[in-house]
Amino acid sequence: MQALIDIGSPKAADLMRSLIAYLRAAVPRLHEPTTTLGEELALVRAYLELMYMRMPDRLQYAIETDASLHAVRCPTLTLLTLVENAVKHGIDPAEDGGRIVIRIWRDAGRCRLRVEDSGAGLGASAHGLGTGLSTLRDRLALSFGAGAELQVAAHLPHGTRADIGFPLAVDA
Amino acid sequence: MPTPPSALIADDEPLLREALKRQLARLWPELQIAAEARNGRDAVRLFEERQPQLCFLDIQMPGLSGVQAAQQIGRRAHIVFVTAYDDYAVQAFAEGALDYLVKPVQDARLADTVERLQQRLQAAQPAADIAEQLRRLAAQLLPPQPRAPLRWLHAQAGNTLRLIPVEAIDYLRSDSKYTCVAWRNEAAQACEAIVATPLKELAAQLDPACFLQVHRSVVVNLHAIEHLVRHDNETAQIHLRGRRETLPVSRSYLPLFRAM
Repeated sequence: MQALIDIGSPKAADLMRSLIAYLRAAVPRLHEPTTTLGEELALVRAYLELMYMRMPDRLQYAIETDASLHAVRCPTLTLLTLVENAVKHGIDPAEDGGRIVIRIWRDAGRCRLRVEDSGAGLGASAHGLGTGLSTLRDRLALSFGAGAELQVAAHLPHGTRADIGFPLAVDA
Repeated sequence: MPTPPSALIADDEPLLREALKRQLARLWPELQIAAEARNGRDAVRLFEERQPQLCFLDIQMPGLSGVQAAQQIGRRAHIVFVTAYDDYAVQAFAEGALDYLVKPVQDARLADTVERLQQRLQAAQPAADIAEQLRRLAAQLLPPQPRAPLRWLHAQAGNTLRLIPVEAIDYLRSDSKYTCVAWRNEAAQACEAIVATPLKELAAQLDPACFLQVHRSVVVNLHAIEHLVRHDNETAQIHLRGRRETLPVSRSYLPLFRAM
């Protein structure tokens, strides 16, 4: 940000907009235990826009979503935790970066979320997995009980794939 | 007329390379930017190609770090490190005699650095021997070893790498240089997987309040134990919840259960 303003780049305005969008999406929700998938996506989009400005030559991303699921409630930061992991452990350490794909879909009465990246992969990260995933797992279990699942696996040929599934309420 | 001084700038973030380039253009107009590198490997390669007298190296770069790149460049250039303000490297730099700049780079600070570099170039001073400091710095920059108990096991099954949460483990049994992990999936079904880490190494990272070594080759999650059957010869068998197999408790570990 500072760098963009210093060099008088027109991108500074874009970055400022992304940052504001990110903060608007993030700040009021963080105190709530749950949010909607639509709000999570807004947060994730703003976050990815910011990261894209940081490393335009190394990060690509795509979001494939089912808008009819955007009102579904989930624990706050469910999606962002996975996306942050993908950036931090997948793209950041990879010389050539990679692509992050986020998918949200409906599957036999369940809501499925998937975040996959073609970055460095689990073993390559210098910092190991932090507490983010464990905490997310606990919070999903609190919200959905035994119906929640969180799986992390290697994404071939390199990278990581995280999958979340939880039951949809009958009317969703 | 002497050849103008030249520099290499290495940073994985293009915006930050651009920013430093502009600042340098303002504060040291004669300095030529001979090369821009986006990671440590490029930095070394471009250094070899262009042989600049100065290198500005970001510390945190993918692949080869700035410190590792500096080790390869050695005394062939004057090196200035650039590091994020919240980096744990800052402390290490503050204590050493290395040249470094903290991001976002302040003009005043850069002006000091520029002045120092200009003096060195003018005096035709060779680059300082920083090999020993780099070695120490490289060691300090290694990722901090996790002291907190392990949370996930990485298990390989064919082409799939699976992360098993530590709480879901029933027991671990050593199998020569591998470890067999008996665990529960989301549906609480009993599963098995193989981990390419020796039991001894895994056991050392598990929470001792939950996991107990009961045999030279077995570590059990206390939550998975249903009951214990003692035998006359001072050994015992552990029966597990929802599993048919039993686990041996050897004589030397049996006192652990007496104390409970």
